[in-house]
Amino acid sequence: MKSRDTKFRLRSRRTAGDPLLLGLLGGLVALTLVGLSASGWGEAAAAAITSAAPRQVAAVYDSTDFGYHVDLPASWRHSPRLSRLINGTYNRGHDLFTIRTDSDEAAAAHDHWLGPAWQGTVLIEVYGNGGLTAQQWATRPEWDWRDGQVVDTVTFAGRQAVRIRGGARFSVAYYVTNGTDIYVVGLIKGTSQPTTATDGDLNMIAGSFRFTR
Amino acid sequence: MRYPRLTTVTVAAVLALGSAIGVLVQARPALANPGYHLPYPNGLTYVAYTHGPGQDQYAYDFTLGLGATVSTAHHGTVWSTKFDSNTGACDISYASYANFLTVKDSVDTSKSTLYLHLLQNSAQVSRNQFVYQGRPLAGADNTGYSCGNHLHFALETTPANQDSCCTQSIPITFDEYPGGIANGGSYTSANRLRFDSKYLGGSEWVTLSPGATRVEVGQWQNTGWDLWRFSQSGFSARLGTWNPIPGQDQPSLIGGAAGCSVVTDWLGCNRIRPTTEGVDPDQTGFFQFTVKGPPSSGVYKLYERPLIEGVTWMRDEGVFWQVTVP
Repeated sequence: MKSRDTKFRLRSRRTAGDPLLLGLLGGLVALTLVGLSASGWGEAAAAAITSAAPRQVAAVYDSTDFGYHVDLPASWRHSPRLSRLINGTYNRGHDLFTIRTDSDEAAAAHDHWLGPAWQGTVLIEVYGNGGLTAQQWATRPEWDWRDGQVVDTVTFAGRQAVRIRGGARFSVAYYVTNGTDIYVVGLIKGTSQPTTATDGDLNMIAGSFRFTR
Repeated sequence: MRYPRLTTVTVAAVLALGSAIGVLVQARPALANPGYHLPYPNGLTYVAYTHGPGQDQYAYDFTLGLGATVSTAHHGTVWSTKFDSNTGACDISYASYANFLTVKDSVDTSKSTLYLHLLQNSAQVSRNQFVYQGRPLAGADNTGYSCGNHLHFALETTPANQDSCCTQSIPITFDEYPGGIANGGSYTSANRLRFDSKYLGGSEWVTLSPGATRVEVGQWQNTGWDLWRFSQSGFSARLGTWNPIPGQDQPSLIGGAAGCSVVTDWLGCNRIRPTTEGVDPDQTGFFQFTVKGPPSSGVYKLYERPLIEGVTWMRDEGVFWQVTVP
């Protein structure tokens, strides 16, 4: 597991109870959304964000292993239990973000498939892209697929990306290339997810994704 | 014409169908979701392990080794797949790296079967393909959250919402073991063979004068998982002459082809061609052929057995035709 290389900063404790900071933060979030939308972050962000009111950023997660940043709403956290650094040629590893507490997650982590502990989470996987474009990579015959899934092209993290909705593991997943790697930012939803893991939260985390290297 | 020895045929069919027939004649009110076979090839035996409470509660782990064939438990359509992974370990953080395949039930689409921990790039079927019970799907492995090579198999409710990744496993009963499967027990599959047949019926026995002819028809059901092709190229279904009269692959006295001692409309001296071009599993193949009354009086029998030319003989049910010459 990889938390040793990662900056995980809780913002809520610093801002709690400070109306001025909260106001500034809310304004920044709103401005950021407007700016991202105007700059072409566009379709994906719009689809992601419009389903719920903007969430307040309570913490951020900066991965030095994988070189990305996400914002986290209140109560969300990076899960050391369900994250993994692989460092393989193809499979680099993944981070999982959950609203479950550590003890709740431990109690739900008993299934060999994507059981309750994995449902209602954001999973960020990193793979070597083998020289393929995001479109080529995400539509390989051996990759994750489900009948009826919808593949389209969007802008994500400021880059051209592929979005797949209704896939086998992810309700929505964004595929975006960074150098020789491809990042899969996926929302896992299921019948056993916590009711507190809202679409708004999941979309906010995915929508805040950006590369840091 | 047909059936010689009804008793023999009936007994043979019961024996051959084994527990499946037994299931049909038993009351089984306790059965949960029947109609499924064990998810590995006919005749193979593996140990089964059950799961504790949770989403996997009704799933089974079968001890298939690396690359062992995983077979379709029930007809359906390949509904989701993942075969890119070469990663797995006995740690839950690896769960998302499992290769898998799901098949949506052909009759009750609210149900799907899940085959998990599969071998990288081992798919033997393609997306959206309709697969028949018994068909090989992929190889077993250890990808994902897995503590050793095995197949994780479950019947699940198909997610009603395309948004949803996973659902609860639901109870299943395998037709081989209607009484259920116990943790740690060994279980032998009676899943479908690739090529298998079941005799459905044919023309009446006939009395012919010497040299007179009559067109006969026999019907066999394709009870395997693969298509019967009737063309000349590859996996062609035929009727072949069989024991005891005239003997395996021997020429018959009541029919044949050009160059044989008896010439009618057969494919060869010991082969009869089907009428239908291609028979899917569960469908009926028709074999139409002409018999001719031999020159001498007597009772002439022709035993026939279906086969896939160059591959295998299918089920021997003692079927014969009979021509009586007064």
